[in-house]
Amino acid sequence: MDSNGSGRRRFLKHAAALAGAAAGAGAGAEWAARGQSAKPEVPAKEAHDHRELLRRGARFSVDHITYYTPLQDYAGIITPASLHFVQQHSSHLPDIDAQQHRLTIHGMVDRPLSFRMEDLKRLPSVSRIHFLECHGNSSPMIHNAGNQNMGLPVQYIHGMTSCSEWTGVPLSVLLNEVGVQKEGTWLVSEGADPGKFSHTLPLAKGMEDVLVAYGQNGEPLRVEQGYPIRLLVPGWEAPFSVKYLRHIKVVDQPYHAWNEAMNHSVARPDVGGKARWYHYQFGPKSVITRPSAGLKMPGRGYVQITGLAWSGGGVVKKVDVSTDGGKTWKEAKLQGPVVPRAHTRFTFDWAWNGEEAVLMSRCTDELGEVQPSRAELFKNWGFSDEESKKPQRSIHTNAMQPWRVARDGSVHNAMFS
Amino acid sequence: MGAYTTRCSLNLLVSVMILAAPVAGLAQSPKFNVGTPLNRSAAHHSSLGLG
Repeated sequence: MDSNGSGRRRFLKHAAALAGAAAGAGAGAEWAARGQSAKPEVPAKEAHDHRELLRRGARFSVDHITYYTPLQDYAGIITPASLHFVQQHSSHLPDIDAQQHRLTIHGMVDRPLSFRMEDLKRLPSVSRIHFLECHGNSSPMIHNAGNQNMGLPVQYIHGMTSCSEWTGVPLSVLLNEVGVQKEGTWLVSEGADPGKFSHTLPLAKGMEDVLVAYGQNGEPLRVEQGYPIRLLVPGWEAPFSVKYLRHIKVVDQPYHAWNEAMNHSVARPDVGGKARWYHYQFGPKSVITRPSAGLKMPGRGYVQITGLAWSGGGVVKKVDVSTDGGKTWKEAKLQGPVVPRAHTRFTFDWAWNGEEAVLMSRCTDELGEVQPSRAELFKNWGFSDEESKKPQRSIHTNAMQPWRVARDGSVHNAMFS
Repeated sequence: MGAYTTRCSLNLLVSVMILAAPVAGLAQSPKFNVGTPLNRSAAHHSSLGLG
């Protein structure tokens, strides 16, 4: 194990690399840092200022690195790669040489194979727009609101979701190459990160729409996003999308990897105080990103309300907006493109009269499922009304988010008040 | 139509497992012949974390 000194140096090195990437240190430096040109360059000096990290919102612990996407600050549906959320299950990022990296697929297969990066890149590729979301997103108890490095509430409460155009090889192509045996029904994926992050995936999903991604928004994956390759499991909680993908083993039953069985489990009354091991796709969800808590209304009169909606179940069918705390609703406009399992931008024309208002959005997806209120969600999980009114550690939280606009134009989080 | 929660996960799990069986039966011959063959022992030992 590293000494504190070397661990700190390594942390600073990676933090500087991240900041350099976020500050636009240059595509040349990025590619060089990934071993794709002859000589790596020195990170930009400004990287040490951490200004970009402050804008993103960040939290570090002994076994996690977390960056939150500033949802309030960007337009459209594509999250710039430099602003994509990060939930890293280790204290530092791995330094992987893509030339040496291999993906092996073995287990219950006819032909165990090892793929180099150049093998993967010669195979048929696809590019698709999909969101990723940490299963702990939108859970107030998971975040430290007292940390001044966390950004605005919409960022540190809901900013562990982002949306990108991902490019890679369909996993089904690779599985066909190795020949899955009839006994094989599950996949266990493992990363090359220090913690060997592992996760189980049903084979059927792997054959449906999963990618082995090497590109994000037109550039190679960034180090914090799993360079050189990661799984991309559309619509399902992000831990399925294993970064630094190194091994896939075909098995006949789910593995209860540590992060699935221990780290990512939360007890719920509706299952007798036990935890659910396997959560899959996200339900319909939306959040108003502007105006949102911490921002100030520009004045009385016209203001465009805007936000993001998404669903693991497919396409967002509609978003309703309320300006009176859910008493009445009107349909918002959806901006194109509207694609399955991707963020969808919505807008709503509003004339603020200077009085107190409570803004909420409600997503309905193509399955006809409707985003619940917090009370509805927690009732379904077996919590009492009283319990649902207090912040709880929860996962797959897709409750509607209320923002209260005060008469002085300030905007506040109204989830618990 | 109603409020959606992740309570459906168990139902989905069962559905996925049922769907998984015939998918596995669809194993086909390699189409691209890309990748380096591994013997099972090498594959096993290269994947210490997975066993």
